Amino acid sequence: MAASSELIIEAVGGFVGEGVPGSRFHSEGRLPLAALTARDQARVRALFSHPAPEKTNFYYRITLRGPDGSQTIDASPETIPEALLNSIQSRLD
Amino acid sequence: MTCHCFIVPLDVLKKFASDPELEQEVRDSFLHTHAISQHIRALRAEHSALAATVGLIPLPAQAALTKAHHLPPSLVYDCQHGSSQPGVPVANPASSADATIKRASAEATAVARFYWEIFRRDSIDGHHMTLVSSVHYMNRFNNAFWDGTHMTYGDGDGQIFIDFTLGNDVIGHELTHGVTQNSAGFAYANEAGGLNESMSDVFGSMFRQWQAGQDVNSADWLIGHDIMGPVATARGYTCLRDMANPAAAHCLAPQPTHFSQYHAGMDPHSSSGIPNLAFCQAAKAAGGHSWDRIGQIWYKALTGFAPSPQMLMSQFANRTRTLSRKMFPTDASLQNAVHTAWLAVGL
Repeated sequence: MAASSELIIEAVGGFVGEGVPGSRFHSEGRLPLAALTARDQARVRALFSHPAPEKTNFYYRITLRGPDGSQTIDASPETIPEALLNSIQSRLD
Repeated sequence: MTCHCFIVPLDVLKKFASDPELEQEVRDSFLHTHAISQHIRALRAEHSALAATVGLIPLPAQAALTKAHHLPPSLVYDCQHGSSQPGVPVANPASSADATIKRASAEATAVARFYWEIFRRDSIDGHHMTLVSSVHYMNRFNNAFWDGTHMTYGDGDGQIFIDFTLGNDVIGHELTHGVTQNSAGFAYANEAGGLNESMSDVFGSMFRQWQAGQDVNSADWLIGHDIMGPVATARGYTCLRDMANPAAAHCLAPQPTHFSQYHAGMDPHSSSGIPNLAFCQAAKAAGGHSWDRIGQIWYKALTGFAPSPQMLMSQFANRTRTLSRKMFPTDASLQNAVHTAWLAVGL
């Protein structure tokens, strides 16, 4: 996981139904991996080491984009560092 | 609803706890998390097993239901704009000076009262389960969700959405996920996922209509109307979803209106438009209040059978047709309303 990697986080589901194709509402955050503390970077590495599919009412989809390509996982809210969650912005089409 | 709750595997936590490249403080943190995770896993496994069997436990006999009924406790936690769940417990939320806390408490109790008075269901599990709500989750969080054990509400960003506890259909919707989890157990994927989401919109909308004393003609059938922020309304959006017109341009998230538009893997919030429209059309054709007869059929279809995690929409449709004949054997008009409503959406 290169230090120059970027994390992209999107909310999926919930009452609003985020991430539904055709929805005019979107929530997304971007953060350089290096912007996280060492502890949070370790937590993110742990998430990507053992990804598990989420089929729950609400979860986050996280993409790690680096020099070697990208990887996408789904994760439940309590497993994600707050700094990454706080990067999320909402917009309306 | 299947809940594959994601927890970092224990072996990964142990590995990081002994990783010499990490600082001692970070290693200690992983060691601590490993210990807590073992307890969390045990609790979740226990809860999943309990939820799966609760739906099979017969509800109390009618005689028992004639006693004075006490509504279940409604607890509220304050996340204080952080991500830790469930948050800080609030003493006496019903009399809180914080309007969000007070509303979450009051409306959860009101949903419990709705389920008791209309369907004789004692809380979301049918067995007096305590209702738990977490409010002020994160900063400007534009959503609300059910995590398998409790509800969480964001305050909205004040632009696109406002405080999610301001929508009583939001609260009815989220609590109904708990009802579904403790009854039919529709998985959160494919057609069953669409049914899962639809049940929450159907009963959330019924609750909203019940609180307002509306019949099927005075109801607006809009989902999320009361939480639209000024930016959303300025652009002409009146709701998240419209049960009477799922594909409408005034919806933030337009949905399909016919089963021919469904495809495997479709997001449940999208595919729910099909059964939502069927319920709305059946209720309008039947007339009166949505909960009088059509709501009773839908409730029985959801809760009166063994769990069906992978139920197809056609199976649910046929179940409601059969129930309309069994529950209202002399009402051919009502039976036809149900049948025709499903035909109209291709089922």
